[in-house]
Parts: sequence; structure tokens; C-alpha cells
Amino acid sequence: MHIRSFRPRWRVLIVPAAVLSLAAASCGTGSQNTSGDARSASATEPVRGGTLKYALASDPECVDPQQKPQISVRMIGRQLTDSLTEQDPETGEILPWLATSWEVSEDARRFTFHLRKDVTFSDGTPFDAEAVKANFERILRLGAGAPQAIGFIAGYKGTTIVDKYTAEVDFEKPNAQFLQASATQSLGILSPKTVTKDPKAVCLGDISGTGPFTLERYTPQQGVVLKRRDDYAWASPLAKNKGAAYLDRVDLRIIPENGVRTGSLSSGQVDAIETVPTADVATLEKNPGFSLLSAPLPAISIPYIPHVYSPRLRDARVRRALSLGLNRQEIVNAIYAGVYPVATGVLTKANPGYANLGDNLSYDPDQAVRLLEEAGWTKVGKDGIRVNAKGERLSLEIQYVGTGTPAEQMHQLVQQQWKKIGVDFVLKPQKQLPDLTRDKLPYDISTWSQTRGDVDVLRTVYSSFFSNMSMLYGHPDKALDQLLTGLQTTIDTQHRNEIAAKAQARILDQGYAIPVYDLLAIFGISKRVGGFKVDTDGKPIFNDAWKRS
Amino acid sequence: MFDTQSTSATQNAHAAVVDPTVLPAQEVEYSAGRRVRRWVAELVRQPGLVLSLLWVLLVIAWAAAPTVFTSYDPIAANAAHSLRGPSGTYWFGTDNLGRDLYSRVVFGTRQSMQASVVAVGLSLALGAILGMAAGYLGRWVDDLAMRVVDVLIAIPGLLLSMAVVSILGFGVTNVALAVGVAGIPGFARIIRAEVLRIKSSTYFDAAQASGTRTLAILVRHVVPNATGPVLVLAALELGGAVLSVSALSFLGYGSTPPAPEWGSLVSQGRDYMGTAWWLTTFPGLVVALTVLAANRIGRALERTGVEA
Repeated sequence: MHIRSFRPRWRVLIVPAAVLSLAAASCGTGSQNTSGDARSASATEPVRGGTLKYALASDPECVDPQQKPQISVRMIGRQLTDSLTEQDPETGEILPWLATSWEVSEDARRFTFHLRKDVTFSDGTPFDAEAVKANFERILRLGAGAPQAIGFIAGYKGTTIVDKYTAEVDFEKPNAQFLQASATQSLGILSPKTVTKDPKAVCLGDISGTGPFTLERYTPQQGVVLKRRDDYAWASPLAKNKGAAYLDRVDLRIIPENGVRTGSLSSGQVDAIETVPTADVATLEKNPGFSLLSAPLPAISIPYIPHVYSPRLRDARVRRALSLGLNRQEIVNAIYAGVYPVATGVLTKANPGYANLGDNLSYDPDQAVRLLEEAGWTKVGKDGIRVNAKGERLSLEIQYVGTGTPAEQMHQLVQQQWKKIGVDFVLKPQKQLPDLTRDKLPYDISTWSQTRGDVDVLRTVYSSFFSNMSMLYGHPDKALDQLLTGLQTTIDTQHRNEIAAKAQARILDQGYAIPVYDLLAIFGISKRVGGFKVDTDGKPIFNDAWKRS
Repeated sequence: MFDTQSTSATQNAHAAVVDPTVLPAQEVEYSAGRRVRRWVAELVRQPGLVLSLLWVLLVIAWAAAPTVFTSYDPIAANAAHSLRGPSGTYWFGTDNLGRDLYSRVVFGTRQSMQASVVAVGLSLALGAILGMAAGYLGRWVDDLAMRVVDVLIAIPGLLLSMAVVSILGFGVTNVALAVGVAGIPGFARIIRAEVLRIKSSTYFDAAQASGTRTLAILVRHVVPNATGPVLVLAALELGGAVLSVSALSFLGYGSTPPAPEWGSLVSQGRDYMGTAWWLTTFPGLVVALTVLAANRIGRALERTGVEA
């Protein structure tokens, strides 16, 4: 009799099974066509009003761009704050924004900004040199709480208020990258009232800037709602509309699951999505109801980074062999549907300091095998994996977060490719990566990238200077460190690019990085939306955007 | 009087000695034959049950000898053949690395089934200990054990499994343990109920009165009489365990890639829902069919097993 009592329990179990199979069965339909008059949408004039619904790929967890360097935070930061300068996505040139002009001293230690006089923060405070000073001093106070920003103003000596609208920023040491840094959201200007508040409260939404939108609310795990600022009149030089935004509101919804994000767009639940999965690019491209915007990011090309302190990776020949054993075209085709370009250097083509080193990144398994044999990995075991004289297997481990992701599938394919040259690539998914400095990671290979429209990104990632961001921290390559320090001493673009080119060549020759592909920021946009554009590191500028109701 | 009484007593005694060798044997033969006939009738009447049995047999065969059923390596990538739809060459299509999905499903069976069987075994073993202790010893042991079970029941099974697996870390064994822990309360309750039922029976009193040791009573009288309902529950739980194991490996707690596993196959296909439906559909169907089949068999056992 008691057996009857299982039945309700069993029904609870059966529901997920049905859902699982239903979800699986219904997934083949793909996206539907929506409105057909796509052409007229782009031809019509901007419309005022309305709410743009936009799908974010991740929870920012904080809305203060000074504190958190993640792209989602900077993206929201861009709407709430403005920066002293702006960067042209095409040329990499620095353009005036809140600063109308500036001078940089020969030794790259003094930066004098002449500020706009008609700007106010959304809490009513006027924008002036005092505000600029207060912001830099806040970043100093935050210290490690603002990892990116503190790096940008490393060696900060002080800000002199020359007059109400002229601020002079001084550094102890040459800091040539600072001008470009002033265009980033990490140095976005917040209200003098905001900077004195508890950083945690600012993170959760008690924030005021000079931006085209104000924060209406931030609900963790759900989304962010931005409200237009009606008296806004100092838009970025990249925006056509210099006044208040057309949209009343921007409703940013957090939709981390790739398929759901695409589905939300194609079903009309949102008007635009970021990070379109490469698998869905072809489908959306064919669909007349949507357009795709694909922005190359000025970044480190997504690499595998061999840890130079790993016992099996101390020899540069082994690291080079790993690069030669990588069939990048196959990876891009199989994992990223051929959408992302194959890496042709340490930096992506969109970075102003990009050097083409494509010849260095060819697929040559025979040469890879020769290098491995020279390095002492001469015998091949029964399992196809190389063994050295001591009998150690050439087994390399990667730890990563996130299962079932394209990145994990890439690791699986790389595992196959490296097996052909006798290298065992061991995948170890983790809930969380160990919180250790870069020289202590208990595995052999990691991946890491950073987006920034300046060659200085090389110094951050491939020097030995920063304990949690620099790959060679604790194991310096003196020649490379010297080159990268040189980037700081001159503001002459030509000269900086020459130094950067040498550094990039050295990084590849020594096998400090194994670049794989260049990431693109891909947006899917409904044809109801017009004027959607993005800045240099792929953050939407909503000032020109409008939505046909 | 005395004579007749004594005669009848001796006759009775005689019967008591002789008859057990004859009568129960007839009874066993009779009931076994009846049982077989009933099973056959049941099967004919219920083609769904036949299909379920065949499906479970196939899945067991996949787990036992995957190479017999497949002609492709489940791990070797063949990027030139990536994302091919289902066809005569690739029955379930291929994934984005060009691996045959059917092979991956078949090779994934062992991990999924092993984990599910281990999970149910663990639930059964720990549930039995807990349930027997509670039912047999009674009093404060019963109170304590049943409150522990109540607490476990209060937490939804999958949530409990996730909590356990996030403490234990990644891996198929850990997933099996986690799912097993969540199944303990069901078994503990049913076994306790069975023990209580048996405790109130006359043969139990007889065994106790004749001085049989506790362990012997448990092993000879309680365990055999409780197996029927417990087996039914085990069959039902197996279906649930397959689902939970797949769910956890879908969430990434299961096998380390590239080793295939049903849940992780669905997970890996989820970015391709719009472009390659087969990547999620086939592994999802296999999981669903297995769960349904185990459920169907459990129900059939319930109907026939309880009376027998």
C-alpha cells in the first residue's frame, strides 16, 4: 500500500525529463522573421522616446567603472559617466571630450587638460578641475580596489588646479599611456559627491556622473535600467547627436545563456543583444529582421599562455613547438564557425600598435616535432605522448572555469592537435581559479586577454610588473621588460610602435604567448532600432540610438 | 481420549514433519508457474513494458560493450566533417569538432549508467542501515534517524545533490555520491515502514520468542520480506538517478572533457540549438527514454511484485 505514496514523488521527477526532451525537440526551429520593411527602418529619421531593451551577456556585479575593469561594468559606466578624452575606433587617435584640449610634456610626466565649462554632474554639481582631482585621489585611495585604474595612474604625484577649468596631472615617472587611459571608463569622471561615498554603495548604484543616462536601478542577477538625462549636451565626439539621447530609457537585461540571448532577440523580447554566439551568426545574417554589427577589439589576440615556470615549459623550444602544433584555421572553423579571424600577431589588427607576425604563427607540426626532439622529448610512449630521458611525460594541464562553453570545446580540439605532436593536454575544469599571483599557478597553461586601444596593453600582460595581470611576474625577461618600460617614456606614436613591434616579436620568439584568434564584439540588432554604434572597445554608445515603436 | 489425542498429536506431528517437504514444494511450483504466466500475460498486454525492457537491455549492452555498437572513435576530432546532420554515415549527426554523436552517446552510456547505479546502490545501502536501525531499535534511534531523514527530505533532491557535489568537487564519482545522498531518505522511510510491518507479524514474534539473535532475525526474516517494495523503489529511483546525474553533468559537474557523458553532451550542444538541433535532441531523447523505461519497469514490478 505504501508504494502508492511514490507516485506524486515520481511525477515531480518526470516533469524535468519531459521539459528536457521538449526543449531538445523544439530547438530546431531557429529564429523567425519579423518585420519585412527593413530598408525603411534605416531610412527614417530618429524617433524620440521609447525604451530600448538590450541583453547583457553577464552580470556586471558593480556599476562603478573605476572599481571594476570588466567589460560589462565599463559598458554601463560609459552610459553613466564621460571621460576626459575619447578614442577614434578607426584610427586610434585621441579626441577631445570633457577636455577640449591638452598638452603633454616631452618626458611624458605632465599632462595638462583644459576642460569644458558647461558640464554638470547628474546630481547638480558642476564639473571642473576640482572634480578631476577628486577622482584621481579617490582612485589612489581605492588602490587595489580599482586594479585597472590604479595601474593607469601608477606613479601619480598630484593634480594641480591651475584655474577652475585647467587641471595639471603630474607623475613621478614617464607615463606615456596616460593620455589613452584618460579615454577609458576606468578613469571616467564621477561626481565629487560620489567619490566620497562608500565604494560598495557606489558599486550597487549610488552613483552620479556626467553621462547621457542616469541609473534608475540596478538589480543584481536581473538587470540595469538607465534613464535619459534631459539636460545632457556634451556627447562624445563619436556621437552624431550631441544633445540628450533619443531614448527615454535603456533596459539592460542580464541573459547569460547564449542560446537564450539569441532567442530573446529573434522572438522580439529584446531589441539588441551583445556577444552573439558565433554559431548563430549565419542564421541572424540571413534574417532580414535583424542586422549584425561586428566590431574588432583592440586587444591581446586570444592566446594560450605557457607558464614559463612549469618544469616542462622552461625550454622556449617546447613553447614554440606548441605554437607550431596549433592549427588555428581549424580551430576558428570548427569552434567559432569561421567568424573570428585567425590571430596574426600578439595584438589584434584593431590595436594601434599591431605588428603583423603572421609568418610566425603558421601550422607546422613537423617543425614542432623537431623542436620537441631537440629539447629532449625524444621518445614516444605507447599512448602517443612524448617522454624525456628522465621518463617524464610531456603532459600539460590547463585549469579553466565554465563547462560546455566554446572555450572548452577549443581546449578539446587543441588537445587533439597537440596529441599529433606527442603532447598530452589535460583539461581540468574548476569552479573558480585559484586566487594566486601569476607565478604560483599550479598548472601549466592558461588563457588571458585584455582589451585596450593602446600598445601599453603589452606592458600590462607580458611584462613582469603586475602580480595578478602580468604573465611573466616573478620570472622576468629583462630584455622584454626593458622594451616594455620604453613604451612609457615617449609619446611619439611612431617610436612607440617601433618598440612595441620588437616586443611583440620577442614574445612570439620566446613562446611567451601562443595567439589563437582575434575576438570580435558581435551585436545583433533588431531592424526596429536605428543609430546603434559602438566605441573603440565594443561598448555601445546609446546617444544616437532610437527605436521605432 | 488420551490415545486418540496422542494419536492425532502424533499424526499432527507427523504431518508437521512430513508435509513441509511436500506441500510447500507444490506451492512454490504452483506460484512460480503462476508468476511466469502472469508475467507473460502482462507483457503481451503491455507492449510499452516490452519496449522499456528492450531499451534498458540495449542501454546495458551499450554500457558493457560500446565498441560493438559503434564504428567511430568518440573522442578523435575530424574537423572536416563538423556539424553534419543525421545520416546513414552518422546516425545522430556530428558535433562541431566532427565527432560522431552516436558514438559519443554510446560511449557516454557507461559513465552515466555507472554513476546512476552507484547512486542508487549508495541510497539503498545507507537508507537500509538507517531505516532498519530506526524501525528495529525504535525509541530515540527512530526519532533521531527519522528527523535526519525529514531534514533531507525538506531539501529538494537535486538541490541537495548540487550542494554535495560542490563540496566534493568535479567528477563522475562525486556526482554519483551526491545523487546517492539525495536518494537516502526515500529508502530509509520505506525500509523503516517494512521493518515495522514485519515487527508486528507473528513469525517475527515466533523468531524472537525462540531466541533467535537480532542479526539473524534481520537477515533471515526482515531483509527477505522487505526486498519486494525496496526493489520497486530502486527501479523507480534508477530513473530518477539517471536524470539527476545527467542534470549535474549538464551543469558541468560530471566527467572531464573530452570524455562523453549524456548530460554534458546536451550541455555542449546548447549553443547550437538554432543551427544543429541533433546535438541536444538525441542525447536528450536517450536520457528521456531511459528514465521513462526505468519508470515503466518499476511500475510493472510494483503491480506484480507486491502480491508475490
